[in-house]
Amino acid sequence: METAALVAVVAIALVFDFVNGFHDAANSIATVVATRVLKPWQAVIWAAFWNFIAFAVLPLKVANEIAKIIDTNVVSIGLVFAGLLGAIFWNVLTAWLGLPSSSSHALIGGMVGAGIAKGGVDVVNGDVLRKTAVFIVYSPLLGLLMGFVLVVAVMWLVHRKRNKRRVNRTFRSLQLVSAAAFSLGHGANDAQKTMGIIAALLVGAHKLEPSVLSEPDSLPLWIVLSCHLAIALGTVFGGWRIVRTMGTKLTRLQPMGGVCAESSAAATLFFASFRGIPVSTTHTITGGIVGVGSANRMSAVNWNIARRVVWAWVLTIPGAALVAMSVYWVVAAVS
Amino acid sequence: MDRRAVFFLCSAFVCFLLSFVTPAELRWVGYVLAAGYALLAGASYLDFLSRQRGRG
Repeated sequence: METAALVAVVAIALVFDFVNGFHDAANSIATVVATRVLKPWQAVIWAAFWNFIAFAVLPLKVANEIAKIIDTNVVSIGLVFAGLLGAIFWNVLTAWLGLPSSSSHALIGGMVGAGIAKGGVDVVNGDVLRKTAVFIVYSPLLGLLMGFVLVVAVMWLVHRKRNKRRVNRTFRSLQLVSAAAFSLGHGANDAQKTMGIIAALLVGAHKLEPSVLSEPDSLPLWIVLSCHLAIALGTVFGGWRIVRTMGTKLTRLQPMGGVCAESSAAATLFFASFRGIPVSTTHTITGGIVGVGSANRMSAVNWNIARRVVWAWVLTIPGAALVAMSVYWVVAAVS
Repeated sequence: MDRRAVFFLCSAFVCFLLSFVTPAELRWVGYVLAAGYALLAGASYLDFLSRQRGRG
């Protein structure tokens, strides 16, 4: 019975990972499709490939940090179930209300909420939570700063070039690299969050040794591969949704701006992955885009969207935590 | 009033404040961001002044 419940919760975690890829596919492929560098189906396969291959390139530090966010001595099947359900419920609720939400932060909030409901605030790893919380602000600002500096530097370098068509062609080609880099960072940082949750669950259920959480890259290969496969498949299916809705929203993107925004977001994701910091890929790309836009003029940025993102920063972790707490108490009362 | 410079200055201030609650090993990120945004605020304001003079 316990094994069946364990398998079911691992499956829910993988579904969450799939949905994460489904949601964020637009971030990875929007610019290459909009500028017709790749056909939609090619862009989808390109992004999914880099999502999947990320495990071979970047360390698994984010997974280790996420796994330690709640004391593994109190982690149970019910707790992880409540955490995941809290995150899923929060994502559905915010989607219904039209608020932008970060799946990553919803997952962290869900785990923290379920952890507090079970064992009080002492079971939460304050260092990991503090690091995550400050990077909710730092990561988009880092992407914004890099996006701004990069686009100004590139504009300064290319403004004397007479052959604008050639410059445009160069940046169209560079978009392949920047989209790949962003997908790599997305695959690494986001898939590892689910890996961390599954690892914590298995350690809590005594199916894994606790030592796997202290050594980066020591997680079982099946966890690593299944999480990357889930997010890559999510990107494939989410990408097709974007293909259908492709239209006027994306046509204003320019190759140079796209390259700068994606490169700065990718650099932020690489930095976060190397330092074991869970960040939202949506926030980093938003920061990059705002940085590129504000290099031209402030009115080029849709500040209404920026304001909504800030609301999401503030609300997601406590909101998902509250939902997860309620779910945990219901689960505990029923069982 | 240069809105961009104000935005960068506010960002610098937020990053500086956040550096106090950032774990010690990552505190430098807050300082670097605060310094970067302060620099951009200054550069943006100079750009604004030069545009104003150009119009005047």
